[in-house]
Amino acid sequence: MNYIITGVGGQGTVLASKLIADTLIERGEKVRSAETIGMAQRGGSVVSHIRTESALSPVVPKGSANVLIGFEPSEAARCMPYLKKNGVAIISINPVKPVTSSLEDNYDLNEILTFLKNAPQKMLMVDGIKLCTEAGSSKVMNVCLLGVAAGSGYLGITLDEMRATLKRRLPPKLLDLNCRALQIGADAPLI
Amino acid sequence: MGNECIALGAIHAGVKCVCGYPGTPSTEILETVVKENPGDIYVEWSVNEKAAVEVAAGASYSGLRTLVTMKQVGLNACSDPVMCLAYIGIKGGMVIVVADDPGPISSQTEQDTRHFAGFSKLPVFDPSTPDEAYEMIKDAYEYSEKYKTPVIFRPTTRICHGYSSVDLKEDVECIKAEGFVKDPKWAIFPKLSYQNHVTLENRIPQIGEDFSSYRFNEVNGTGSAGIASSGIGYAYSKEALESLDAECKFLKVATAYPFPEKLALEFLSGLEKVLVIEELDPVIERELTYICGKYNLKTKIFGKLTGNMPFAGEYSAELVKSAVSSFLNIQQKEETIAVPNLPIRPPVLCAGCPHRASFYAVKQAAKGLEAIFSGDIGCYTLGNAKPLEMVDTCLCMGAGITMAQGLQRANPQTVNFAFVGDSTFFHTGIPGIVNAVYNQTKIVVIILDNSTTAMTGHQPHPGTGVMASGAVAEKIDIAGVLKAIGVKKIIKSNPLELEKAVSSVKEAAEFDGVSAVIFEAPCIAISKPGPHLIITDKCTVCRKCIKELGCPAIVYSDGKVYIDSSLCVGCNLCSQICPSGAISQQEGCR
Ligand code: SF4
Ligand code: SF4
Repeated sequence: MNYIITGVGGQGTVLASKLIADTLIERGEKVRSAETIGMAQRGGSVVSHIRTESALSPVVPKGSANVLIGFEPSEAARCMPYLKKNGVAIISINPVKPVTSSLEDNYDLNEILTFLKNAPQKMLMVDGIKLCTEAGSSKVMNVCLLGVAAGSGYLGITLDEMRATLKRRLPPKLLDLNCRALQIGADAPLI
Repeated sequence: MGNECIALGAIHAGVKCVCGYPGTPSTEILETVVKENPGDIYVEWSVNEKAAVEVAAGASYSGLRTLVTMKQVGLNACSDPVMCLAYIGIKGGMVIVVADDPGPISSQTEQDTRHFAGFSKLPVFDPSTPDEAYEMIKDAYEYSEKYKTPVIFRPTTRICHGYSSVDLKEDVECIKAEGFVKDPKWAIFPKLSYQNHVTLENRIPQIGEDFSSYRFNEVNGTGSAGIASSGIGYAYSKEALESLDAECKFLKVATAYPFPEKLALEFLSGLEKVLVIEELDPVIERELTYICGKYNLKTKIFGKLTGNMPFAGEYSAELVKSAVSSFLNIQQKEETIAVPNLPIRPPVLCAGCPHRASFYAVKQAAKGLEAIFSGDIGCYTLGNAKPLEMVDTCLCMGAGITMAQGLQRANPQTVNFAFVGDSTFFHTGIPGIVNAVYNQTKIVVIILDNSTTAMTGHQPHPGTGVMASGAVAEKIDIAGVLKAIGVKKIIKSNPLELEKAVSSVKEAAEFDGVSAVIFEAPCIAISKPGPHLIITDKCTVCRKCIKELGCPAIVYSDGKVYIDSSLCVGCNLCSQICPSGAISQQEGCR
């Protein structure tokens, strides 16, 4: 399996990819993974690659991701070339505008969403912010999206497995919130 | 993570002294040693790379296994001790990890440390996966001790920041150090250097021979075409062959210097042509071309020198695949999808970053002056971006202060501001200020003291009062240092109090001589955020706050300006510049 997780720095993509990798390792798979992060600590594009089986390089080649999880529509669109012809994308439709867009106003959300909706692959789109509100924290978009992905059956990881990983990896006081977020994601209405 | 593999590999090989200076992508190596320290390893963040190498050398002379970590440009800062150590040699194994950054993703240059290894006559190891790095570190110590020389270990970003499953060996090697034994061989003199140079040159082909049977150098596959590769390029080429369903002969070079000539000859025999896939400089390509000439082989070597591969930039799986397919004459159907116009996300200073306030204050104070702004290396290099545009020059660590002096000499009518961060101040900034005081060059040094080494992920430095291990240290006072070296005008200021900050800079700029403003405000990542601000009905949507500050928390959307409460840290800078007094704390919101 090849996974691509993408979003904007600060959205929690890196933790999401760690949770996926951790689940796979726990199951006994050999995992390679990589992150491409620019110079920015926050606000830059972040792409995490996760690969299993006999992959030698940690980077997913274009056209070979089975699953793409996009935390932000423009970043998801940027990574669409990675997605396999029969791959599945799980995308939150809420935009994060870069500073340059506030200076120049050059973010065309409708065009990007139309592009994503018209992609030939299976697209599972959700309102990430709404899911977070429902869960009661703006910080759980990552786990909500993992819930959508696991619940859809395309992630290759079950909800139970993911729940076990949350238990292993998260501090106890955050566990309830995140388990709730996972379930909310799994039950989320698609757009 | 590759960096964790390197650290664990060194710990399991019995390293006892670890020194380094933070630099992407090498930083997490030393951090991992701190975290995983069984208790008997001495670890320090050194003030700069030169200090790191020299501290480690002292320990190596005494028989300890040592590790030094840095990024590629850090090697430039310590080339003096590294070059000399090649002549003197060491006793306890010494591995200098130098992380290269093809791209470059976060560096000033795309220099290739394998070349530096050849130049300084030190063996170099080049892992192609994190798991290989873990194993290879141990070998590096063994070669280092066998040939009594420091060795360079050169991973690239993809290895340092790549992750893979690794089988760890838990037992730590126990190396008995006999301590320092006095001997004339430890003091470098021209006569000794000559003798050692002879030994050194004799040793190089020996090590090359030894490397021909090194476990991570290998020849495999069959055919009349061959691919030679190293590092991440090896993984990309193997995968390219697999997806193209093609076969060819393969040479993997894990030690580019001294080059494993014998193994390369075995690879070249019977080959018509070779494609070399290596990031950065054509090191393997030149070696193979040389060997073909030396042994009069007819094999054609293709790579960067023949225009088949790019010199600059990071390689990708796609780039390698298309190079391999055209080299093997395999048709590849290209499918590209048309992605719509997407916004770019250039790196920017964080919301509430005190550097933004400092740059803004200097910009205001310098209005009407013919001013040149010299920047330096750190988060504050991002002050070059719109809308601040406050970095006219940036070269290398510590260079802002000294370049400002040359600019002042060549443009005496200008006021020269030099920005330097706290960590950079200690790294190489101080001698530059001494130079200005000594030579009486008028510059205004703006010290951006945010109490951390922010760019690389918040390491402590001599001004923070904390050591790498987390223990309390003597805090070195920047103002005290400036005073001691003769700076006559030193003003401390809080950049977030805009008016006072501007007048401090004005006062410093008017001073005849070397002056300094120390802007003290902690990096937002190490301080508690205040209550976020809101924009009230008084806003006239003049967008001054956006156009002049560029704080990522201030967003313009659908004809309105608002503050993203999840990003704003309540630094209060924007409220001080809004002409309508529209930005305030929570109460009175609409
Ligand atoms: S107070 Fe203003 S300048 Fe400071 S972080 Fe918040 S929005 Fe940005
Ligand atoms: S500077 Fe003040 S008035 Fe102008 S857009 Fe910003 S908040 Fe509104």
